[in-house]
Amino acid sequence: MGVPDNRSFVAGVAARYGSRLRRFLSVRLRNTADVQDLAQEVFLRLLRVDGYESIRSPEAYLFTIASHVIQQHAVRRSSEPTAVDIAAVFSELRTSSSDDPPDQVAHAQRLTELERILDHLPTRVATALVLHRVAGYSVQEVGDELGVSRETAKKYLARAVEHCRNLRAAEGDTTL
Amino acid sequence: MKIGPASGKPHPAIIAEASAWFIEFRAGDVDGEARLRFIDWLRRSPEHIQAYLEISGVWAELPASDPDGKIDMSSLIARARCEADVTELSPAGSRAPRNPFPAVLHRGPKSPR
Repeated sequence: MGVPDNRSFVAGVAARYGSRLRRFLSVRLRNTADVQDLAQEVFLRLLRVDGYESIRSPEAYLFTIASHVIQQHAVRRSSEPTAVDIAAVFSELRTSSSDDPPDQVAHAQRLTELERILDHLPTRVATALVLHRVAGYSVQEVGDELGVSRETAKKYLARAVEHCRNLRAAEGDTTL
Repeated sequence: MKIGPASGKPHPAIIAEASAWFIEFRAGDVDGEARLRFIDWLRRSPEHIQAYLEISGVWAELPASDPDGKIDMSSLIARARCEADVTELSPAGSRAPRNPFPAVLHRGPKSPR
């Protein structure tokens, strides 16, 4: 086994096809941080090849190895626990049923219920909630409309939604 | 030893925190760094998760439109603008003070102020 010869063979292949290999890997990997590691692995496998003299097309051979390495990498990846972006999941909760086509009766009921809830709140807090939730004003627009800062508008809104929840909890979930 | 809170009742302060986070997301103000703090907050206790879910649920059930114009938006705004500053809000969890002008949303006689 001509190990030194094998090394120079691999070094030659690396010099000639190295950058193409990295491109090949990077378009096929979701995480570009893996490119360097997998390129390394491809060359290590090439080093272990016996009888490199019989390889007619080092280029085709290299990319065949690369394909296998990518496949095995994908298999390893899929057996790892999936990382979930918990913040994304939770932030998506914010719209849920508002996208449903409104049932008119239920909708009217909700408006009446909202009016009742808002009676317990300072007018600015109540108004902030109505402008943002019912009329679709952005947080900034709520602030502008009420003549307060964006941060204050957020405080009003947080106070309002907190109040809605507390009232609902106190009433044992039977209304709203 | 009891582990965790009594079932189904997040502490009022946690409800307030959940509300603040919820509105941060509504405002689109949760950037990379705030996102990490939010994740950290969620992970700190199941109570936090429960509180956030409750707030989301309550929000989802609030009406998102007023097709028949039941709510008199402009008089509401006018009233809000001349109301005294309410930055000092009652602490979370305490019974909210009775609004001196209860019929805020109904079209009717203007409030005495």
